Amino acid sequence: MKSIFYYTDDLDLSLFKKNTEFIVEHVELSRFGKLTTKEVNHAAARLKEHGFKISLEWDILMSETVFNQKVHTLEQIDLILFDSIRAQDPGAIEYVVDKLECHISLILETGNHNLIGIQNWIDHCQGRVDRVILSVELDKKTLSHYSQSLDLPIEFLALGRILIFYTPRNLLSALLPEDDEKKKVSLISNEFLTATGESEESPHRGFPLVENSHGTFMFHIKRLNLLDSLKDLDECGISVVRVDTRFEEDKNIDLILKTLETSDATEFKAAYGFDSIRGYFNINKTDVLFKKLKNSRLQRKDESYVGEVLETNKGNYMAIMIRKTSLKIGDELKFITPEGKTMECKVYELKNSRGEEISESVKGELCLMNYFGSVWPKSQVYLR
Amino acid sequence: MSRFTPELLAPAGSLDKLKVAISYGANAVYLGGLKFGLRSAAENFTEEELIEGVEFAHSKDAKVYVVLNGFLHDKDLDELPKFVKFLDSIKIDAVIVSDLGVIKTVLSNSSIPVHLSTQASCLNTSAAKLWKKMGVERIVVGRETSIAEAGKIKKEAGIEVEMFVHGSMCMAYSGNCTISNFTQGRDSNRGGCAHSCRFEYSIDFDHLDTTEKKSAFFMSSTDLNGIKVLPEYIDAEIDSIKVEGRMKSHLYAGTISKTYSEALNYYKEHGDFLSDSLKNWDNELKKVTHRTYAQANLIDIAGVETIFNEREVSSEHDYVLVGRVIDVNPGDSIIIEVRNAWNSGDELEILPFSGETIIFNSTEFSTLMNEKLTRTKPTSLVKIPFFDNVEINNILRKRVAQ
Repeated sequence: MKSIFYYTDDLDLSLFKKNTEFIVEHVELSRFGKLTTKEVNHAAARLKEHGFKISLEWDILMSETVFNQKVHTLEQIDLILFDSIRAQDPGAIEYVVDKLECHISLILETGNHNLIGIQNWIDHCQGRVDRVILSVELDKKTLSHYSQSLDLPIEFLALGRILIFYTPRNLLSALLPEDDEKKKVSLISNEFLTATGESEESPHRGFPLVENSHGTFMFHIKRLNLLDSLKDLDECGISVVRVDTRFEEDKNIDLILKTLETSDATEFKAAYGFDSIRGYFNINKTDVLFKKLKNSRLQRKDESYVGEVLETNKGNYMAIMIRKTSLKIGDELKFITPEGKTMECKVYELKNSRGEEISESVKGELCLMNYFGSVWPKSQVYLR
Repeated sequence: MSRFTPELLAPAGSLDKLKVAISYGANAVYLGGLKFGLRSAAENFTEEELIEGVEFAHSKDAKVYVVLNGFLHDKDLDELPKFVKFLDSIKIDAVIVSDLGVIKTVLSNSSIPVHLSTQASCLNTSAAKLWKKMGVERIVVGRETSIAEAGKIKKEAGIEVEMFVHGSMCMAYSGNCTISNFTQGRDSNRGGCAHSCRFEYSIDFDHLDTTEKKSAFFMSSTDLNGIKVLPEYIDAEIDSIKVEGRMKSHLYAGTISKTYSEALNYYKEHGDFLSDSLKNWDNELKKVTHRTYAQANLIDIAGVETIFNEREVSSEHDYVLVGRVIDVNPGDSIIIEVRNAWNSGDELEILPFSGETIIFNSTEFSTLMNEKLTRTKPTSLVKIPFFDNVEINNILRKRVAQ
């Protein structure tokens, strides 16, 4: 299994094995990039000298105007030094496929939770894809299935912050007064404005926040750490694990490299100063709560469906809006209340909304029938 | 002379709201089935309701688009073909999709046109060209797109463009927010969004002392209101203008549909807008519950004014929905399903499907058994005197005491 790291100038490249890969981030193309065009070209040349594989990250999302600006930036970069371009915006993907000759690493981390879609992304790129970068919301069973089905390497985040919110708007600087020095600097340079957010929803405290020229980003309060599951990742068929230490002062590179070498994360875990989670690597059950979001008893089930009780007038009548099957004197009905109780009764009196006696009421009409206790408005009415 | 105007696309959170929106002038509605969409808590439509909804819409020359815009997982796709074939059989007009796997599943199981959901955050011409190659016929552009950019995308990519004109806004790039997934265990991109962006946060800036924490609803967006820039939508030849709000009330569905529809019809007839008319329509739109209105990115890049730094309960509204007409006995009475109580003497307004609002003092109203009332109560049915031009599904509203 290979590993890929984000390049920073302070990395001691001699520590890394030759099959290590690096991501180079341009200030204008990458969400958290800090390097200018000149620095990007220099970084790429330096990495190339060491024999590393290099990817240029173009992961921002772009409006039409921004896209055209960024294409101009891209044209200034010495792309021949790069083995691939990493892109998420379909506009960027299309541009690379259409206008450039390099490989593309498809960032499919947002959504893309089905094989049909992933395969179609790959097919669209006409043999140019060198890997797919998959979502941390996928569990190991799914990853394993995908690795067996796809004829391409899969990259997966093994260590780092989990991005949970991305907007182009400047949400942090908006909270600061105009004379705030840091705000002034961050708005004219690419110095990041950083903060932590505490939601009123306890216990969610300490969301890392970053604002820069690409917008505002929020991360999970804990880091994703799967370095103690490298064997599992390998068994799942993950070809490349991504290590993201961009936001750490103490990057623990030596311990990370040792872990990658030995698959023993004990020493690293002891030194790592952040709370961490395994995300959805074991299982993803984020749809199980859906059935609790609404009262399924109020959902009409159409076989024998008549309509809905709109009003009950104790001892006098129940007003029913006929939505499907007509209602006649003598019909035997079943009512399902919002609480889930089932009541049964027979129609022996039927009136229209003028109070005139009728023998039948049809779809779209409002009718009043004899009262029956314990039936409430919103109860659903069916023929027995 | 018939002039180009965009299609008015309204939300239909339920069968009743579908009828309300179309009756008030929407040219098309979008709605969800029981699965595969992004509003798990909405009423949504059973298959029978879908059939009835499509029949009703087509009888009024309106279109029905069904949202399948969740980021669906493999197991969801296993169930999708059957539903898609059903949708094809009832002749819906399009599906709104955000995931490539869903697009391909729809295309291989039906002949239903595919519209790309805003959830896919399609923001530029290059992306639109890619989606067109994937089989998409219409792009719902991301909310970060300006009208001018959307017009350019349409022309350069040669694809239909739909754009939001009104309603709540995601602050994040749509599809790029997973706060609910990681904090509530609910997949926001499969219908479980917990609206965490509307919560208050205490922000502790790294460069400031912790005593200087800022409390703010910093991720909450103001609502979109594009009525005043309708001329720009028309000039850019945007194919469809879309109103957000499947979870919102009948009053919302009716008021928004009526107002935008009147504005578009006015343009169709006259070829321009009068500033007074735009102002009047804008006033109408203030009568439904809303956060502070702004134009987001429609003209300029959204700035500080587009952050709704207030708690939700303080949403602004001038009027409340008091009821909906559910039966009309010509010359005799109108039956109202009461949603919010009113008292004898209150001034009420009935919104007919077209024409002037009917304003009256409600002094005579009774139960269906003709027992006189002085106050109504929610979920009851009451009888009021008959007025001309009132039809089933008209809505009643009341001004809120200011």
